[in-house]
Amino acid sequence: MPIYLRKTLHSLSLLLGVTFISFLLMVYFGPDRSYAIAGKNPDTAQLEEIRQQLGYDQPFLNRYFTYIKDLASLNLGQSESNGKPVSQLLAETIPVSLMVLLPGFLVGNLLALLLAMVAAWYRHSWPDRLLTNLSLAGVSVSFLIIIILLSTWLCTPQGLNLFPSRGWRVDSLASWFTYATVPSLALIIVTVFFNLRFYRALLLDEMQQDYIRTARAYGAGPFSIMFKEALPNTLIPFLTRLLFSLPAILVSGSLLLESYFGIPGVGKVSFDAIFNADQPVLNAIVSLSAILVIVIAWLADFIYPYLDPRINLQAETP
Amino acid sequence: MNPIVSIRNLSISYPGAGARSAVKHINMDILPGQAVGLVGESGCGKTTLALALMGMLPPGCDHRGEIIISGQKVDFYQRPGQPSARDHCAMIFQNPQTSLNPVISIGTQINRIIQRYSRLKKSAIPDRLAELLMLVGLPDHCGKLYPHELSGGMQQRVLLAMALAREASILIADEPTTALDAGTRLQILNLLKQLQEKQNLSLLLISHDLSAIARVCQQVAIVYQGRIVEQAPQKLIYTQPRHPYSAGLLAAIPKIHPKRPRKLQTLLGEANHATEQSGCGFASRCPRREAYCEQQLPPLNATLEKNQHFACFNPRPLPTVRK
Amino acid sequence: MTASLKSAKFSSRYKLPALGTLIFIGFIGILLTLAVYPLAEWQTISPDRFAGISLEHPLGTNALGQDIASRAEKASWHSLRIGFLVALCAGLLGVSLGLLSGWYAGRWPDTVILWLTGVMEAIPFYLFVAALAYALRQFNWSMELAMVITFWTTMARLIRAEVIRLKQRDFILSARAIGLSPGRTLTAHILPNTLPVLLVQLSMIFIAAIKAEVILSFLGLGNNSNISWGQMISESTHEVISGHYMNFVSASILLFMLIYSISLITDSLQTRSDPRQGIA
Repeated sequence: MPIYLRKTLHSLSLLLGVTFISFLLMVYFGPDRSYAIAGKNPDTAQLEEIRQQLGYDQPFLNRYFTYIKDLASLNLGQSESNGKPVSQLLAETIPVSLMVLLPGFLVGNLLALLLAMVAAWYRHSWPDRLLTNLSLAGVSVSFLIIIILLSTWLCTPQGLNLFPSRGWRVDSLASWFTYATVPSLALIIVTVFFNLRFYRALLLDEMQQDYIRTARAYGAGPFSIMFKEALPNTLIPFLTRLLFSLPAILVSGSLLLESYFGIPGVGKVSFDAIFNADQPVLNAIVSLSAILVIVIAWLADFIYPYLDPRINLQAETP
Repeated sequence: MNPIVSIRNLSISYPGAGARSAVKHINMDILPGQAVGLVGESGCGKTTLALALMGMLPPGCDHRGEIIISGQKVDFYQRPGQPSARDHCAMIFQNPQTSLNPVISIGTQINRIIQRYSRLKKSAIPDRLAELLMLVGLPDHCGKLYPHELSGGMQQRVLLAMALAREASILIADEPTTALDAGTRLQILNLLKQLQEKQNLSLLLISHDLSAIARVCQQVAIVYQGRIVEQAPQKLIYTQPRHPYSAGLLAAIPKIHPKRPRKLQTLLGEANHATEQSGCGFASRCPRREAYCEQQLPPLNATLEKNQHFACFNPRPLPTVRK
Repeated sequence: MTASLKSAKFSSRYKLPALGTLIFIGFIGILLTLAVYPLAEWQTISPDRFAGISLEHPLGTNALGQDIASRAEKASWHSLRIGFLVALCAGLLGVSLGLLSGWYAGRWPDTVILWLTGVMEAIPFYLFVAALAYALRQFNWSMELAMVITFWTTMARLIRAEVIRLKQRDFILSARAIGLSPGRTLTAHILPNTLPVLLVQLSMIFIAAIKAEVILSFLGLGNNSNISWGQMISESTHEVISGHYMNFVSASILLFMLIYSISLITDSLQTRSDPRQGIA
């Protein structure tokens, strides 16, 4: 079997597993909607009818297949708290989340990479020690604490009071700066602390390779050694880390950031859905973000051969 | 003729417990266009010397003495990318496999060096690349390949092309054939010799393999435990080695002689690197040892024969010339 | 000169883990002292709102007049309990599945376990906790359970890789050659050799659990019958604006102390087992 086919099949099996778990948790053991729909004091016949409409009387597997069919056709149902179609809700909130998270995420990762280069270049001397110790202390500070400290400092009369402490009315670049600067800063700080030591270890590993010695012997300068020689060899682990932390940032990171700053993104929607037991919304977010993870992993396998010519997807590996 | 490289009383020791010296009181000259061989067992300090020449000593080394290349003093801890004495030197390494960047094509790797060191126009670079590949005997399409797609011998040719691209006048080859198989080894040595002569390069060939050195070099230095024990023109070393260690090395070369099969000689014992002796380092293994050998260090003297230097109190006698 | 070089090496290598151990011992020491000399009851509401630092209230009181020091003490125990519990259970699960999967690498138990790891890693953690908490409404430990179910995967992957690496080594091959059973080979010969990786990963789970609990209880997804740092921080977000910092400061400093001390110790453990400096 060609390896790309095998990888695709593997991704499909993961999809099946994820949808099964979210079905089990959110639908099968999830909230019983018949009471809510039936209103006050329903009789048994009414309840039975509603349960039939909702498909609760169907056997387990049938319900699971209906669930998958709905998911595949993006028929995500309606939110129970405000009646909007879930797909519309997501279409409104995903762009907002991307606007809040993506710039900080990218800047944070690039900054971490640059600082890691500095640390790897000055290995074991003071810039390296300063950066690694700082980031070890930094990862020990909870994301929550960083958010609170930053917003207290920048958004309250106690501090500089430069930005609004909550809200989101973004229609231009200037308004983006008003509302997204503080959340982005928090994200940048966390991303740098979280990644710096990992990227440093990657680069340090490469710096000890023979081909770096060759480059030095042939007159390559610090910039050339780092960016043209070492970096291309770290692209795969770097990109893997970047891609695979993206879904976690999009869902878990936004949950905290958006609920704290009152930004109407995916995180805020899922936060509200959790507290209102809004099952269709939660269900859609869990399934879609899991699908995102799997799709990213599947895509990564196809990108890697372009980054490292030694990886060959056609070749059968044991 | 003035030497292009002159090493003056060079001693280097590595940091850490024991602080053992890797290179001790080495004096050596390389003339323009001359091929010099440096022979010794592994761990005798050959590579340290090469790294010192390139200004790439690991940080924290203790060093005395100096190296002068074309009148310029070498900074042993040269910062990468700075113009320096080592711009006259190119170096090829023992493991061609790991010495090339695995994710960058051969052509790009060579081009980077061409761009760095020649004043060619951008448009002339592809021609220069093709020329270099031809010089080292690689087909044109190799430029598009990646290191893992080449054999060990071809990889070493790529490194040679990089060395030529550098337009250096001195080539340092550190065990260039050790990692290759026997057939390829010969090809690379011949190529090395041919390039050295054609480009009029000064060559420092470092090897533990005397037969490789014999093929390429005019002048040979034999190193034992960081010291030069014998230094002489190639012919003299091979016909009349004076230091017992040189003689031992020569006797250990396997020769195929159908009529007179002979037992292979081996050197007794192993080099003792752990302790610092006051006398001759080779004394414990030496068949010609005298009592005083272990007390006093024999200096590297030019004796009666002006161009053959050796550090031994009790050298092998010159072969008697039969009439 | 050699001696001074050695001592300089010693200090830089041991200073940070020593600092970590010191902070950790200090942290536990304070908690144990408070167990012997108890503070005021943490639930008692008094009219003494936002009181300053005094002998009676060493860290002042909160908006309900409750003693912050005793609340912080209770919250510390709560965090430690969760950290240890989750690290133990998730560690046990991860190690056993990792051993199994590494031993049968390439065969069906391995395929199943790898698949399970992939599935669990694809589901966003906080939403999983929320969903599980809802599905197990009657169950008090749903948050801890959710952490155990999600945190074992990295451990399993690492142990699996270690087993595969060790399986090829001569001492394992000879152990198998003399007829040692797979179970015995795994527990007596392979497991002890995975110890560095295992310990590092255990403390990482410990840290992750404590951090996650703080965020979950801040968001209100935690176990509300207990006081935790996350709840204290959640209370304090309204207070810092009006200039009452004690709740926030005490909770966040304790949280930092605990995690930083463990990180320092773990980091030196990791650097020692992989001198090239492993993954943070």
